[in-house]
Amino acid sequence: MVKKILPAGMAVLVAAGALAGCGTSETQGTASGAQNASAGGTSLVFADTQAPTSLDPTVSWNSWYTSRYGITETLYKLNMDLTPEPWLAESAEAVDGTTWRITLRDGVTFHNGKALDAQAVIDSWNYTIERNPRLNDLLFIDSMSADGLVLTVTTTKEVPAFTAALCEPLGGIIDVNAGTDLATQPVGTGPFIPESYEVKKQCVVRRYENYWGGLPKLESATFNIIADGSALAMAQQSGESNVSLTIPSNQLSLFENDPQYVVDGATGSRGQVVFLNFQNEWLQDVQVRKALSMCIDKENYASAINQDASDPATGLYPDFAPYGGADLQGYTFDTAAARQLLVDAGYTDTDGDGILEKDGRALELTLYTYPTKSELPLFGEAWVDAAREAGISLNLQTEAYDAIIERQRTKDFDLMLVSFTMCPTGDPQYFADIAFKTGGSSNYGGYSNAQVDALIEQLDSEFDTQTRYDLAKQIQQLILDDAGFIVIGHAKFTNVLDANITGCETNPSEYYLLTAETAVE
Amino acid sequence: MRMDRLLQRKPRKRRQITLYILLALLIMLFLIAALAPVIAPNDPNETNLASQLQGPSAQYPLGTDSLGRCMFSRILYGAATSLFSSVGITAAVFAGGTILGTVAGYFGGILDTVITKITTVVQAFPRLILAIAIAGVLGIGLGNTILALCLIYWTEYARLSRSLVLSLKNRTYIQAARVCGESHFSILVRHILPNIFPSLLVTATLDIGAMIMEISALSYLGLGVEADMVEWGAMMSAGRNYLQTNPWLIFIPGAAIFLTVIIFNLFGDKLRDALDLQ
Repeated sequence: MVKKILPAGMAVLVAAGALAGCGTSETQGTASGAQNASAGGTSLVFADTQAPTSLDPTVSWNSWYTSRYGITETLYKLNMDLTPEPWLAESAEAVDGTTWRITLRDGVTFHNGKALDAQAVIDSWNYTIERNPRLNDLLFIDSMSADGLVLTVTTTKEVPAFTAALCEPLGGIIDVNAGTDLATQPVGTGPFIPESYEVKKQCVVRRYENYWGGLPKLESATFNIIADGSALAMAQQSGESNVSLTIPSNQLSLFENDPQYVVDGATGSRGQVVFLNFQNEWLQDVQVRKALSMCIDKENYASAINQDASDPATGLYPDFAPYGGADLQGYTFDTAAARQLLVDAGYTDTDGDGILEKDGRALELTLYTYPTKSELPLFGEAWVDAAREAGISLNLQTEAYDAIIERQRTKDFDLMLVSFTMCPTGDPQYFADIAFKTGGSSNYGGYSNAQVDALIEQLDSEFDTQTRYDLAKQIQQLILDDAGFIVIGHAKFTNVLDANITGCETNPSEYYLLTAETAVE
Repeated sequence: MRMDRLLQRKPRKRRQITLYILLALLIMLFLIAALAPVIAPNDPNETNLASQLQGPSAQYPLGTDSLGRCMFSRILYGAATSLFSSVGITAAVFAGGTILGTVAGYFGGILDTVITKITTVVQAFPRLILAIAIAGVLGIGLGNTILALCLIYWTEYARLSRSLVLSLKNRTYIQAARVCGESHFSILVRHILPNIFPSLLVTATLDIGAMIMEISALSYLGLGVEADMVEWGAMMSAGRNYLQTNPWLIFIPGAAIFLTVIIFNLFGDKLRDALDLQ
């Protein structure tokens, strides 16, 4: 009897797996956060699916979190339109092509009371650049000199996007001479001071009384990490969290019509990007690439599968951006036309299985993606089905993110669908340099187009904003004509907040969250 | 006397009827699985974004999933994946484990020691954890999942058949056969295997249910079948994010697993009763 009840019971348990398995392990973390909230008076609990490896902002992408947690600040800040505005700096002016004079804001102090001056910025950046080359991939610093609050930076080449690069959280200023352990106690200038961090579990911050922007309205805040999307939504419903980041799109309906909550979204630049491997024989044929592009129903992927949590992309950059592809000539979803394109190019279905062949070989490709961005495997499955109608056999492989990174390094893929923040600094140059350019560090598929390279070279040293936008559009159109990259859409950055929270606007950059103005009414 | 006999016979007969009903249900399950391409109203992989997350209708008897695929057709095709692969695994471990266990038990000596030690070592690991580890190393795919489960489950049969053989091999009829000059092979096939077979068969029947769950569990964790393969555990995994908004996405495949496993387990139980095994 026991033997037959046990397996049956386990079947029920598997059914409840999402609830039981993920729910309980996370509630421990959130329960303590909720206690904090009630004890501290004006306190809030934030919840997110992702976490930094430590609070050391110089390591990997951790600075994005210390920026969101209100610990570190940068010299410039992106506003809601992704335009850079002075923040810790008062101004930055180009003295000549390769020299920038940055005047810092007066009266800014670190959490340990030390005043911020130009030398502190130099020390912070030198320390960061030594440990994380990404900062200088953006700033191209050659040398720096300090004079009180005035910082003079010379760059190795002309960097028109300098102020946008200053917004990257990795350039956040920390007191590297404070003698604290950066992994738990980075000393920044932000409105909040880190109190504790348990890796991938919880971070607690308390307010910095002498913050340059005035006394922060909240006394403290807790950031819980809840990896499972369903558990994240349930924590918000039960009141364990006050603000939830990146709740899965299909669960937003649970909050949208409830006056208890505010669903706040901003269109982000996190593209769903398809990298095509140009070493693959099939993909060297532009008609195959075009046919693949025509098998993606961008509008419906965004509206139906992702339930409006992303916007379809006409071109490559987000349509809403001034350099976006809204008025460019892209591809419309039409599997019959895609098939016709291939038939015209000499592909035929000789064995009658619906898949086209050429020279006796079937048109087969492997598509890799990963599940932690929940929409990607679904996009992949829909694409596989449409491509089959067009006569292309796609083999979808969903792997762990680490395995995907390894495939990017070894170029072991045909097609790869990833989520990629395309304009982290609100500027088109970044992604053009690292991905579109021949030999770019993130040009995983080995795309190469001499015309595109020439235009990127021009973009790199063009100062006039409008001309930059025009160049970015020309680059996109060339790549679209080539079908060299496919961007399905750009994910919105959507937060769910308790309705009584103010001063916590969702910024499309994903850089910011908790500020001195965040409060509970 | 008469009353006693009647009382004894009646429950036995009812048990037989239950057994036949369960057998009929099992045959039906296999028929559904085998005939899925014929019965299914829609292509299980055909996406239709315009009709995603719909409730039951004439076109889609069990509604549609997040890509507008027919849930009913997917359940039918999923039955084929679950049933045939679990029966296949069970048959493989049944054969492999029994051969190893019988040889170990019958011949004894160093062979017995080696096989028993390996069995003990493999059984020392928690099964699902070991399966996850092996499947993780081998990579995603139904073939690898089957291989991982085979590498773990044979021990049960090796151990059981070995102990059954040990209890038989010194019986007088075996000794008589040996005295008469029968070969070891002949003794194993003609006298030992037929006697240990029923116990192993019952274990195998009960194991098929467990196997369905193991495959589903691995698929649920993303280690089982390929993304474009229809499988119940993978369907539940895909429905996980819709637990609050569209609960049937996780409930329907869950119910399919639940009912199938129950039928196999009840059948194994009744089969044991019918064969009069302890």
